[in-house]
Amino acid sequence: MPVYERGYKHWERSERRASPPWWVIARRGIAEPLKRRGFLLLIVLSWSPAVIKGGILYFKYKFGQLADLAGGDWTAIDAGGIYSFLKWQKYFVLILLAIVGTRLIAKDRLENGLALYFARPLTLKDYVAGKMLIILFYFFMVTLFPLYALSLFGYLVTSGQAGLDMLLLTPLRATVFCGLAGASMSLILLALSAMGLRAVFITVGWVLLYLGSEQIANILVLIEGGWMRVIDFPAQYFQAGAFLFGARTDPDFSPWVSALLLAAYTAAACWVLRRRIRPVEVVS
Amino acid sequence: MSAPAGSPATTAPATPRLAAHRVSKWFGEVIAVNDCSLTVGPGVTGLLGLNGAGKTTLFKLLSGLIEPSQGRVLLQGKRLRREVGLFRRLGFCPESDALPEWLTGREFVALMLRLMGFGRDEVRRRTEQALHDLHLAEAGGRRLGGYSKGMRQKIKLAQALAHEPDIIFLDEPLNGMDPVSRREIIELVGRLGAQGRTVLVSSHILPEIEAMTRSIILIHHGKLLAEGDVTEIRDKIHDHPTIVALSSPEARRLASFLAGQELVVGVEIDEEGRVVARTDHAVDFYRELPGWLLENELPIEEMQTMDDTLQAVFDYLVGD
Repeated sequence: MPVYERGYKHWERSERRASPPWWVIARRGIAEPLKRRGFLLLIVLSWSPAVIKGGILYFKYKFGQLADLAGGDWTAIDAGGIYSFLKWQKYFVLILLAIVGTRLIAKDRLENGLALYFARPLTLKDYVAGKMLIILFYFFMVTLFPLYALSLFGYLVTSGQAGLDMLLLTPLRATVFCGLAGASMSLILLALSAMGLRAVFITVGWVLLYLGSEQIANILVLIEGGWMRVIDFPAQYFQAGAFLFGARTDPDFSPWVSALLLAAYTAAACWVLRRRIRPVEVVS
Repeated sequence: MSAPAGSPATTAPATPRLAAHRVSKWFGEVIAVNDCSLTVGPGVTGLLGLNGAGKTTLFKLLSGLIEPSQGRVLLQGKRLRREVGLFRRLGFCPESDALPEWLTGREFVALMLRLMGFGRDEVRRRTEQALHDLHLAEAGGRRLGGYSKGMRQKIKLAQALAHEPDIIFLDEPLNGMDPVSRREIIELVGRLGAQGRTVLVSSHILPEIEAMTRSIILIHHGKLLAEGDVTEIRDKIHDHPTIVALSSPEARRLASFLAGQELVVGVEIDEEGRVVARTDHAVDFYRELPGWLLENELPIEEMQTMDDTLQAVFDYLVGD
């Protein structure tokens, strides 16, 4: 057929570029919890400290020293203030990650989904990276993303008085901190998820590790001294990351001890993942 | 019996062969598969074995889901788990019907296709095609949690076939299906085999396998017991001569003739007046029989092989 008789045909690409498998897993896993209203509400709630801090900053700069009544870290817009903000968020991290992360591998194991995944061109690294991204996304959702918003708001509300440190350096520090802490925490939570089949037991394990270790440490610190803080799991992240924000560290043990402990936890988590993620169906 | 639709096609394209070389698999102290070597070519092959025989482990070894403790499983001379790209040529339908309940059938097939590396447009097209082929187009929008057992079986088949693989692994594919669906799937498997694809079907229900293929792999106590065509395997079981019943108006003359043949080890006339011959070499017997009948003008009305069925072969090899 001559070209002039063919008529107009809009050009369309016949095939879009395929997504890598880890991204396919991550995208599906990120989208799933967002369908639940209660979960969305929890995310909104997790932003409340950022909103409150933003509000206090606004009033401080608009109405002089009045907002100083709030005092301390609430009005601090330097790296130390941001570091404190991340500490406030740790309970939201506990809850949100418990909801999102504990079932990620356990559910696949329980439903024999691993055989379906691994009968595809997919490696263990792809699978773990995809699952890890899901946790990391929600970790950032309650830590890094509100922090970015807060930094930008702080810069704008102070008409630039906070300087580029608030706009660039502090968010950069927070990105490094949250990236490393989030990656380590994701792997540890995934390892917990790979160790069981029932989400309830894994959630209990996660709460014991995160909150239980903190409470036990609180008691043991009174009896044995400050060095017992080393058994406080979330505290290790803040102790190891304090130097990034120029914040004060716990004087009873070195940040290097915390960094080494976290490296050991993370390595153990990788070992567990390698051992437990197998595409063999669970026969009940 | 008519030739099953899944018999290896003579004009099959160069489908990659799957080969296992001296494969063993241990789980702790237990040896699940012991020193198995086999090749699976184009067409439908049934993998048979009693519960606990090592059938599922061998199935998973061949499909690359688990690595052997010893030996190698090769597809086109390459190890599957070391070149994961080869999985694009594989379709796997697991036995377990536990599926992600919160996904719709359409989302599930699409997710599995995206993991195969297809782009969005191709995923959409193939998903619809697979759902249509398995009569799930209408149910595709429903969550898997609401699917019946038969529908779950079909959606598992849909995800295994949607990317048009060369090698297809079907673990108990007819579980929970109604008779109509069962027939459809048997025909579908037959068509896949006739297209030159390599289809390995695992089942413990012998008539299901028999309806799909005459080519089998039989595993027992983790060892490969037999591999090949049922009749050829049957022919090699000399402890149990093959029994052939022949209906003839001249039964006595036929019986007396057959009694004189070397290939026949015993002849009798049963209560129905049929000549029942026993032979140790069934394949040779079937080849010689037409000549004998013609040369001696021996009429027969019906011939029935009594025990070269899959069930008989299975019983003789495993049940004794």
